[in-house]
Amino acid sequence: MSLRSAASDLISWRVEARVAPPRWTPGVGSLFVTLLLSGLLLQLDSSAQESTAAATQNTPATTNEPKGAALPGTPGLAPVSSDLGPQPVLQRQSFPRLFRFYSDTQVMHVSNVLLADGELVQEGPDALLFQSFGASLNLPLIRPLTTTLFGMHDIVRYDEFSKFDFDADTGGVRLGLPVAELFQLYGAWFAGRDYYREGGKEFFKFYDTRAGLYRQDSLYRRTRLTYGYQFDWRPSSPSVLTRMDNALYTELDATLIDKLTGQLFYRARFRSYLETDRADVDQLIGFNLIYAFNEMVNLRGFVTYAVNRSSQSDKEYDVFNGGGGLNVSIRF
Amino acid sequence: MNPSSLMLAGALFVVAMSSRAAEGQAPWHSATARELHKVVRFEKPDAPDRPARVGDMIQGVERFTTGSSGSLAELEFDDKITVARLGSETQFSIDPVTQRIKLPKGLTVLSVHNGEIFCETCALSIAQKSTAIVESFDVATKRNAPLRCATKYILLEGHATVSTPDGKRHKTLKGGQMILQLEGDPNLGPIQDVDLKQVLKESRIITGFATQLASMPKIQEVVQQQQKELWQGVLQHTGFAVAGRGRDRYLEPPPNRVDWEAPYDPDVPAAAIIDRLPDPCPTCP
Repeated sequence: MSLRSAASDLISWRVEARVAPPRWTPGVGSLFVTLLLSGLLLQLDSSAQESTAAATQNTPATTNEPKGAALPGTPGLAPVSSDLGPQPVLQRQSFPRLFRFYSDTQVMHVSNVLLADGELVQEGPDALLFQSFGASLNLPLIRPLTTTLFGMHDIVRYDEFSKFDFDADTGGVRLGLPVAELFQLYGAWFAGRDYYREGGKEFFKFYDTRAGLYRQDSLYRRTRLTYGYQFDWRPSSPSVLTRMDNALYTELDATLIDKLTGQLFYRARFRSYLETDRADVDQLIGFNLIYAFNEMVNLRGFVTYAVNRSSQSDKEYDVFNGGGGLNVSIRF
Repeated sequence: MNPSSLMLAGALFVVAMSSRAAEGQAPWHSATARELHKVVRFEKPDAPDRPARVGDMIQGVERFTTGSSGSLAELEFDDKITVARLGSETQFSIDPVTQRIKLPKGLTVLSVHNGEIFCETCALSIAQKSTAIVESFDVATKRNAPLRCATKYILLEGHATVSTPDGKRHKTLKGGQMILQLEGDPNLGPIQDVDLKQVLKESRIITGFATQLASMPKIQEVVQQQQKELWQGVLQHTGFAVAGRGRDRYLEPPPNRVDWEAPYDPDVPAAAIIDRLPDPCPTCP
């Protein structure tokens, strides 16, 4: 059975739900635990190194160890630091730059374009062009809350599955709030619709209410660890796709050379479909290599691998994506 | 010269000296160690080097030097308010004639409350009445060329004037600004704004001592003003950062700005939003 015929046949094929508890994949789960532990160990190791060095090099004249005295209003959890921290360079503008336009173009290979389970429907690859155009407006309303209005248009074009080419429009508002230097809280409300390029028939619509928080810590020079949690509530049409998500994520950023950055990230997400008895657990691990020509233009290569386990076994899949992208962003 | 003239001259001398002291010239004769971490040495020309002790004083020919990473020292000047903090691998002394701080190598924080302090490095002469970070370091400017000395100066609060060592060029900085200057350059480098909040948060020379700098409330005012201007969009991150000590610049990791499910969301980490799996996938069953 070819992929194309499988897709055509199965779009109208009602597979009887086979309820099964979500399965945990030990391999990816272990990876998550390893990532989290690595971050923790990196911090502990750094502290331990300092303590050890202090113990071994201490002289009678130097008995006081750094107390890590926090700044007023900063948490006692001082990040791992050197004598002198990085100095992010700022630019003073003659007037506030509140608008931003961006374009992002990515070409990728998808190993399992049908997100098939490999049993009922065979897995098959395809290539994909994903073009996004977007604009945003920052509104400084109540300090320190950041408020951003945004809109974006996406163009998705398949290679083999071109009859499913579609466009998407998304718009909404996003809020951000730092909490006592400990976390960054964020929230958003946005709506989106997806429609086929041919005929313009809308096949998906959603409203998303989002809340999350994350924290960033510097580990070593040019290395940063981020970890956080995100909640999404997404009433959708068709309503069978209405769902509630809870996600935990972690990300390690490292500047490898002046303009080349590596990003390793992991996310575990629990998706509950509210109109059915479906529940999914998906895990995603990925790596980005980003080369920034300047603050406006960057080029990236990426790979991701995701595993989805579901209470409905035909919704389970593994997928690998790899490709490249170009991002252009202009503020004015 | 009659006795009354002598008395008048004497009185004028006393007034002149008092005035000099009030301007902040006099208190910089000596500095005393009050907090030490890891390897700190006390060097005296006519005696062998020894580990520094709390209470050791430099007042001319002596100097403090610090060891490798993690070594820190805090010194208190004669007025009991002015403070110098030393980072690792630093050489610090006071010129016995001019009472100017000499920093041929290393990192220091100078915090002044009354009067004006002067500091000399290989590339800059500095006059400040506030708090600043000063660093002297060697840098390679060209391949196979000999290293050149350079100075980085970050003013944390107040105002300061920097000039070339020959005094022919000078610039005034305000809190939150930085200048990088190479030894031998006839002109002063450009003044740049830097994100002080980030600098302070990750600098052990600020956070690594038992007591806070007395000027921290003033520094926090500058931080708050910067954060307000960043929020308003008047100040913006360029994306570039100078990496700790030295002058290496790098581009900060850009957030991954696009994904399928999340909209353009530059403040959310890539891992939170990245999702290359359209759901529903229009091609999926």
